[in-house]
Amino acid sequence: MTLKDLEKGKSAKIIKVGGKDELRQHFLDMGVIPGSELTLIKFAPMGDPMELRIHDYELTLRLADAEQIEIEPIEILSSKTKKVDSKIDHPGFGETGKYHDPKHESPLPDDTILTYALVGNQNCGKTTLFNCLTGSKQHVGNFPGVTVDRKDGQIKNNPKTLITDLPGIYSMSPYTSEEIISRNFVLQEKPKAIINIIDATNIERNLYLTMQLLEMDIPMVVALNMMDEVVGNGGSIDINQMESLLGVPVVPISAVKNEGVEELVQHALHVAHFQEKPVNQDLCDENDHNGAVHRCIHAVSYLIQDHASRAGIPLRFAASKLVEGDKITAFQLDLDENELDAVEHLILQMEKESGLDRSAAMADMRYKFIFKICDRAVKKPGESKERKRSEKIDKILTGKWTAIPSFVLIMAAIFFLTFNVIGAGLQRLLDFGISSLTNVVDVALSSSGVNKAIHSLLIDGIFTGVGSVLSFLPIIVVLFFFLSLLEDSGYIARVAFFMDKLLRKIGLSGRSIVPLLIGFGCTVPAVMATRTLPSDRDRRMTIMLTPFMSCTAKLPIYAFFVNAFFPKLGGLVMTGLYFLGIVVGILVSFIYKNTFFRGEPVPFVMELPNYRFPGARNVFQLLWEKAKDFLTRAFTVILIATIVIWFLQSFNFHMNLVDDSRDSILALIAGFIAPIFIPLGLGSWQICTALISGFIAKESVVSTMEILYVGGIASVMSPLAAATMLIFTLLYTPCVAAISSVKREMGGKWACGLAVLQCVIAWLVAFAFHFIFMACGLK
Amino acid sequence: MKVIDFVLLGIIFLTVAFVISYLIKNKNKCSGCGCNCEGCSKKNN
Repeated sequence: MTLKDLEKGKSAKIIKVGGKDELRQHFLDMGVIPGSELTLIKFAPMGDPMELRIHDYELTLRLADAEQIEIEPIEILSSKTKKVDSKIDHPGFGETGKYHDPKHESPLPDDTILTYALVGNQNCGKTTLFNCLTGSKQHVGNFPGVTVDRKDGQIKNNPKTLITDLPGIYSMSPYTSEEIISRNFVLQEKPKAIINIIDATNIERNLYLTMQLLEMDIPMVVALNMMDEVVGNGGSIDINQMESLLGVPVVPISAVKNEGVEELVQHALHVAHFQEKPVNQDLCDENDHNGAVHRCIHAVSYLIQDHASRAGIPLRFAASKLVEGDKITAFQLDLDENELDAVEHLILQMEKESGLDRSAAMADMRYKFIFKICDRAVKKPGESKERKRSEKIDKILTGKWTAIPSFVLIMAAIFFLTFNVIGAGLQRLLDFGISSLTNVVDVALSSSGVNKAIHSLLIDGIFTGVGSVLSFLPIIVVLFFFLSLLEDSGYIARVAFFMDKLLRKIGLSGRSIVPLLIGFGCTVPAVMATRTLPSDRDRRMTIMLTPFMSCTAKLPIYAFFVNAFFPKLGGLVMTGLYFLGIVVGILVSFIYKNTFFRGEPVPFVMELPNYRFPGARNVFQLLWEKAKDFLTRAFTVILIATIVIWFLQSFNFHMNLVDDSRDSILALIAGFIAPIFIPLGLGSWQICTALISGFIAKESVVSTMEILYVGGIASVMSPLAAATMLIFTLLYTPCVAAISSVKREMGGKWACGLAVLQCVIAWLVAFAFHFIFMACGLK
Repeated sequence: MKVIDFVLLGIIFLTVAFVISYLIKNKNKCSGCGCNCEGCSKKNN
């Protein structure tokens, strides 16, 4: 029987894990190993993927992948824990002799910069701890893979330290591109110490990475995060026992509450300065499978000792990875043919004796060691409050009949509140303030008899241009507020879960929903967020589709046209535009799927975090960042753009002030490309100029139009032309910042191709729209 | 041109010069969009 055939609510024991290459390794790393017990919680609303509970956490995977896992049904789950009652003394901070022999002590010189790697699973609180340690304000979220790039900081009050926050990894066998960043950092940059952060509420799976880090022979401290939740739910962890079993200091902390962090810092400074390496690195049990794995690893260790030393790879790590079948390590060790043969024979013998293949045997060995630790040191909490709460919420938000309607309702409510109630109300207020200020300055300049050109530059150029963009600040902040609530609460991970089947139809995996949703905020972080996707094909295809998700910078354009032409249909037009972007994106994805990106989307293996209340500090921090970024852009890029456009539309080539802007430099230049837009009913030089300026920053479209259409736009443009313009701006090339981020991820050719392709698609869709409505006799 | 015209022109000129130098200085930095990229990290630190 396979996992696919298991009924909802039933439990089973894993017999065999099939599958191929990295995916299989990923399964094993996530704890899906022979002998593990699991419970099927539910299927996604469309019947695929499934959510199961294994090693006290929730994992999602598709039915096609579940079919690779052979199981045996069981009635009751066996418990691996017992009451903890330890008599082991606490080693205490800095007690020499506990983890290293003072005789072999080799403290680093006092002026050495102590470098640390902050390593842990995804969504275990690394960035929260990083912010605590360094006092920085990195963005944190509640779904796996918020951090996609390494970031450095200095531990507060410790100037000779440098700590690097790395993207979350489940093991040292990287599965996604951001996991490679973490692995390479630890292996190549050789930090002076590692701070391994563990989610104590999900300790078994988190310790799997710890097992591999111990083999790196780098001084290490383990930070048991979320201990407040463990204790709050009736669990406990015998820290002393765990320290003695792991051979490294263990510090219980709560990064969110900033508890235990000071002690962690002291331990981290100590182990790094005195270079206290882990004591226990031999994880294999002599009696397990009659010692087959133990003998194999040790035999391989002897065989490759000189190669590991030459390659600068820790011996135990090299041996484990070689036995596991890690090709990168095998290449780095540079073994000759005889040695490779000998290693292969040793592994084959181990496989024969243990009855497990190499990857499964290594995962089995690590998990057995983990179970030993948990058996002795961990009293698991009962079902946590957070889990119970999540289950109740999930009954509705991921329920079979309620998931998609809930999603549509939530998104509709967000758009309604942003564009019709809160955001729009605040925007009108700010707009009133800006208009009043402009009038006051206008009167003051007129009464002072200021030069006509300077007066025009200040009022028609800067105040009108920058002011028109500034008034949209509230809408953008409000939309980001709601998006950050979705992200921080853990809902986005659920959306990925139930949208997987739909997204697969267009050639993507459910995980792609995360970057796509971020794309509604800004394309730049959305493009970067694609790094969490495990396959290059999925990553590229998702990047190419993010521009179809209308970013917040386009909001001022929509609001500008809606106010001028469709004041009573604001919500409908806005929602329609967002919807159109998604529909065109879906249609284009079908073309991509059958041309540039042939093949199948990657398997959907993702952890579902519990729902959490979004932290007020985190949300307001994000809003402040967004507001600051928007204001910076308004007073830099848009200010310069408005001045340049004012200049070009106010002067002719003889540098004389023109009375009619049709004689200006701008009219002449933009007039060259205007014919392209005649079929769309947008063949005026003013519109072309606005669209070109939108490439620098989308908000510039509005400021440019405000400058160029002095008497108001409604008198010179028909509602149909305005609607066509809205569609074109929705779909045409993303701004230069977004294109550069695409260039960084995919290269220059793809970035240029994306810019051109978006313009072509925008023109075609806008033309079709214009043609259909013209044919119907509407103007 | 009056004195006030020169004063206003001076202010505009200095503002533009400051903004351009700011943009050049930050050319290679990220937009500070709040994502967790290296650029944002350095900015926040």
